[in-house]
Amino acid sequence: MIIDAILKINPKAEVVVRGEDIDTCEIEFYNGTAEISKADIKAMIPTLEQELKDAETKKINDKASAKSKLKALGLTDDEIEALQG
Amino acid sequence: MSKLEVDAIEPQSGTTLTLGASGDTINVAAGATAGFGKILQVVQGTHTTPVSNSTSTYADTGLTASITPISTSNKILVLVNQSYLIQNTTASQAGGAIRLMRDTTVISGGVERFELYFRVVGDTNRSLYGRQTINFLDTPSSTSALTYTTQLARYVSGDSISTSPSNMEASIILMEVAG
Repeated sequence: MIIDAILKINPKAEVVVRGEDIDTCEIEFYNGTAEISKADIKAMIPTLEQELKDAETKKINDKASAKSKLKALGLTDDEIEALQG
Repeated sequence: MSKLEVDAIEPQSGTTLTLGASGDTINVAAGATAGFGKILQVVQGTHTTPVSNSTSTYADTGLTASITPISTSNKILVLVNQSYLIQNTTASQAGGAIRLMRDTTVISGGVERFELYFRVVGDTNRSLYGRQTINFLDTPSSTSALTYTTQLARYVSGDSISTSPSNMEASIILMEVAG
């Protein structure tokens, strides 16, 4: 999650992160990558977590919406299941 | 020290022949071939702290183990089981590599940085968890302490590779095999 947050702030960041706790991990920036503060990284983590949740919710909603549209077209539940693989 | 030269040794009674006592070391001379006991010592290292790398420069994963061979003619069988995670942030692909080092020498893997790879056209923020195994029979020709480690690097800009994600254990086993 730490490196995800860094790449969210700077998608081209070249960085090595050792450890999983933002307060105690070691972060090394390479190849001219501008240093990002731990405070900024920490602030980005909830945004990232929310994006992941939103993406998951969207996937569930899209699936339900597609299923109801297919049902409206007259497909049975078994046929819809077969389409979903 | 005295030297015993015989063609056969058999137990005086019963069926068990014991060599040495607790705390002793029984060695097979350099160049000699033993008909038994090919594995002379075994060392294991484990690691659970995540390390992530978004650069193309190899970085240590923290997984390490050291061994001192008894003879220069012996070999070291290295067995690595490394947990990993590769992720794409911006590109439609992600990749990385994990390589095995003996001290500062690359001995296996990492020739290409897409040894671990996936492609998801038109999609980002995808993850692939897995385990990389490296089995390598090393011929170090040394009786000095040897340290084996693994290193990781990502493939293209915007990718990242992590080892021991979510504290998944990684292990390295070193076995000295009589030469």
